[in-house]
Amino acid sequence: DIFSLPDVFLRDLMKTVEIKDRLRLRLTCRAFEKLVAESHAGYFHHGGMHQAPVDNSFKFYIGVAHFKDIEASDEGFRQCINLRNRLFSGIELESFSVNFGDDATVLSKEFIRKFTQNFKIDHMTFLYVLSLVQLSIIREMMSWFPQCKADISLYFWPGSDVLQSLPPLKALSIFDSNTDYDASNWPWQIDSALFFDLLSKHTCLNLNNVSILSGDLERTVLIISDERREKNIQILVKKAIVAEWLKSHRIFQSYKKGDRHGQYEVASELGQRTNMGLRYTKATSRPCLIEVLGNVWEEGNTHINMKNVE
Amino acid sequence: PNVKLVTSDNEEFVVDFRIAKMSVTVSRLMEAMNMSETDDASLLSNSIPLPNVTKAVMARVIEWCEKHKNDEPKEEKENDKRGRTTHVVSDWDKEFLKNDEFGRLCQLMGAANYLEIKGLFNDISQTIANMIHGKKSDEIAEMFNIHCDLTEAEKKEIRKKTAWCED
Repeated sequence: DIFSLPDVFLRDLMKTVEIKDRLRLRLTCRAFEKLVAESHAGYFHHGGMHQAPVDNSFKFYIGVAHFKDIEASDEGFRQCINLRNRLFSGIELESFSVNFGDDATVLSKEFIRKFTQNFKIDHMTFLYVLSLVQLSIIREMMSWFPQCKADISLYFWPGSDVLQSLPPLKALSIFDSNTDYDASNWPWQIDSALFFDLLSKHTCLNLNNVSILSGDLERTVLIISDERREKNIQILVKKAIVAEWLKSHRIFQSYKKGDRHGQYEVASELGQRTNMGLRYTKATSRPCLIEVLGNVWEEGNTHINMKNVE
Repeated sequence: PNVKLVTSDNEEFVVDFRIAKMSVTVSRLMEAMNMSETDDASLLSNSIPLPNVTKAVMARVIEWCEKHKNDEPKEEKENDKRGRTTHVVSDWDKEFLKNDEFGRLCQLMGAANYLEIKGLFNDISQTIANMIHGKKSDEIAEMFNIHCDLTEAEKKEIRKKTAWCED
């Protein structure tokens, strides 16, 4: 009889059982039903809660177990909390992703709070954040898990003040889903002051339409290189600014791999269609790898990636 | 140097010092009895009593320890993230445990717990989880010799409430 095992064994065993197996165990007898409900589910790499894109429903998942088509209503939330409480007493997740969809009110804050009670989460990812209301829920969620790292992908412009008030994030991305990256008519732009504020606070940045000057690119390389911890950015800037910055280092279209100028080395060749790689090295700092996507000697915008390495 | 371990049925096992040290319980007892690797006299004149382990189970524990005595110590994170990622049962361990019926696994698990050999305990725990994995509830009940005390109506209700889960 498995229940002759000491309780501590059973609880330890339950930390290795998959979620779907926990569901099946509930059907074997009352003792297992109780054990499933009262035991910690152990560690899972990922989980999440996503609102459906079209109807008033949502799904949650833990590892490979997906629970879908749950009605986003008071009754649906109540049943969902009941199920969660019958499945485990607590859980540890490496990452937990939340997608509110178009409407922040579908997945209510109170519901998420109850659902994630006794969760230990290392890393939260908020996908497709579309409004200030959603951002305010996210900020509150972050306060429930103060040790947790967070990634936020904004698909709207919340304003400089809101951006500057965000707590330090593992990753912040700001996109505009309606604007082509090569377009010149962006509805918003990130100016130099805001860019450097975000750069100083967050570990990774992915920002569109950054309006900075060539001297700011140089300052960015130095900041990233001087940073002792990981720093990794991707920004969309005007190609003309990148070209001007390269020329200031006497790097022209004709340069080849291996060419050096000062602390910069061309790590991959320039070309019409290829990306350009540069390596910045300074004795007292970490090397900074720079990648410029596409041909910078033309009109338009380009993505530039920078990251420090060991 | 060797260490003498005595089981509940008075069987003496002479094991390598490294193997003895794999058990936190035995390590503590050796420390309490001032037995050290560099002091042969202390090892020869003392034996470690293990009243909660039988000869048959001890032999299995030693076999497992022999295989794992040169393993690198695993770095476990704060909350012991075993199971689905860090604790995968190796092929040798699967083979080692595959013919054990559930009752014998429980005895071995009890010994691993008493002796505080975490790696063996985790292996057995994961092996039992693997035995459960993918089985229907009545198959699990049969495997663990469980009498189901749920009514059909109760089972139906449980199934209804978990119908969101994709299969």
